[in-house]
Amino acid sequence: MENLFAQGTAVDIPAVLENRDRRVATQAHLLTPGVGAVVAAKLNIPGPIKNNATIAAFFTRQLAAFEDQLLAAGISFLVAREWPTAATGPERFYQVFAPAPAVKALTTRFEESQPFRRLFDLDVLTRQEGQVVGLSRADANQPARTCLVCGRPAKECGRSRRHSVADLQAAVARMIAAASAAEEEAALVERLVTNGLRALTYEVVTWPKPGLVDPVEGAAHPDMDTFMFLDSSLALRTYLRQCGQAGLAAASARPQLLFKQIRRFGLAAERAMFTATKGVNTHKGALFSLGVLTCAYAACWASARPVTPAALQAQVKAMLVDLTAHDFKALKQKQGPLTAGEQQFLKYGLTGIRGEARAGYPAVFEIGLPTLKAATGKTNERILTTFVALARHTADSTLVKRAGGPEILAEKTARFTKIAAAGGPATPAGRQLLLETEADFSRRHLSMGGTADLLIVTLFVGMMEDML
Amino acid sequence: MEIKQTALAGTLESSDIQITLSQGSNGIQIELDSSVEALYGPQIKQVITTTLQAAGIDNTQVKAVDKGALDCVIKARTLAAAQRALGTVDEPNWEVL
Repeated sequence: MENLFAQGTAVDIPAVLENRDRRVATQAHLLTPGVGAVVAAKLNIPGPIKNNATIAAFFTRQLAAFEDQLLAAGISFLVAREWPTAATGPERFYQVFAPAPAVKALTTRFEESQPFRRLFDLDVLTRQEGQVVGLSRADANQPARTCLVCGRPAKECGRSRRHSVADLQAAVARMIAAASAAEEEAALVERLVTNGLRALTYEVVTWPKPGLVDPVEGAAHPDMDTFMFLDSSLALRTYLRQCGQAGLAAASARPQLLFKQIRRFGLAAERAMFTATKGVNTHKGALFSLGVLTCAYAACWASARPVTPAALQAQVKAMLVDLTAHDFKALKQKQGPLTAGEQQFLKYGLTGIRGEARAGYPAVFEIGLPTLKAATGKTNERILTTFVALARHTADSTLVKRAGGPEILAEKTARFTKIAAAGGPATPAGRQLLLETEADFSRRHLSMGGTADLLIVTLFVGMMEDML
Repeated sequence: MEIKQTALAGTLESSDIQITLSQGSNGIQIELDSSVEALYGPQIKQVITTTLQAAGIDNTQVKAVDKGALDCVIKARTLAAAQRALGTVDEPNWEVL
């Protein structure tokens, strides 16, 4: 860790005291009629360096969380004054339109909610009989503040100068580092969710895709349209976040347990999807695979960075090691209707998406991603090129289901191989063949749903790798 | 020297001390309110007394409300109060800042 206190302007005691006078005057000034309380937010940073870019960023980002807590509690507020870059330390003043004791309860909860928020000092001030008074921690039945280093009452250690400035600064630096680690985790989950939603929506808007819905044509799926896919995608936001968080939290847990955990999230996600689509199965396969990859990525990230495709694939395999054995073994006892994948396993021995998933998505890592990486041109063409490559090499269970048997797979492979041989979707000849295939598949109601799921996963991993 | 006017410096913020000086004729009389009085009361009074004497004040009533201030803070706040009491500096008007 680089030295947090290498940057910044040293302040002397007169500057600190002058700032304190200014703070007290500001608090009184902001306690106008109608304002229930003023919250004066600052950091407790011992030593001569009290602000720099890292400290100010920590202050601002953490206060965003405090503001979220105020909003969640239904409390309205204004940021009335702030001096984020002052050498005496970043400060912000809120006018809060709620009773002061309720505000004090929230500020105390915030300060205690994370070890590193211990660095925050959120004073709550109000007027009583015209006088500005601060609510103490004792008013909120909270113990007095403790020392950053040793846990004794802070006032005792401060008065006796028990600890050196270097020791105090080291404690502060550790806390801010812990905060950045937590912020990085939150940013990763955000990125996973965003890229998951991007992958889902990029897939549906790519045109022309034989056997799939796109904005121009979707006759193979008369019960669906692009808008339904967009709705369905956005319904998966919570699920993707849960999968990411589970992966972060369970880096050391057994991978199979991790999969069991997110499978439960998946059931809720399916219900959310069916609610969004009014009962149409748009993304059942995609949500399975995308959830697994999201969770696996987070678990890999938590143990080693940067996440390599090899590590990601190994994590997926470890999570799904029992998948086909467990699922297919239980089929004989299964009550209720079987899914297409389950029926095809029993009828033709095709393991479908389960087999692909359990093998660590070789189609994605060995075909989809290298193709996407090498593909040039506009985004639509790059995605189509990737789609054609995946379509050639996938035993699509949705296609088998619609065609009524696995014989369709040979025809499918021949068609997409021809498109690739003609130069792919980026060339006029390839594009013409693709359009003809789309028209033909639509007429015959043939679907490429399984390939679409693999395309979504490829796009997602590609986005995490900054290919898109 | 005796002081000309009542003066105040410091705040009731934590780690600060608020010093109020008013006229007196019986030496330096200190009334201290501090959460660490049992441990540091005599030392705090000593710092206030020494600082006032250095500023040339030897008759005044001192009201000190301590919120865990360090010696250097006690010194700075006492000095500011002394200068204001002697009329040597103006009080800044923070409201206009």
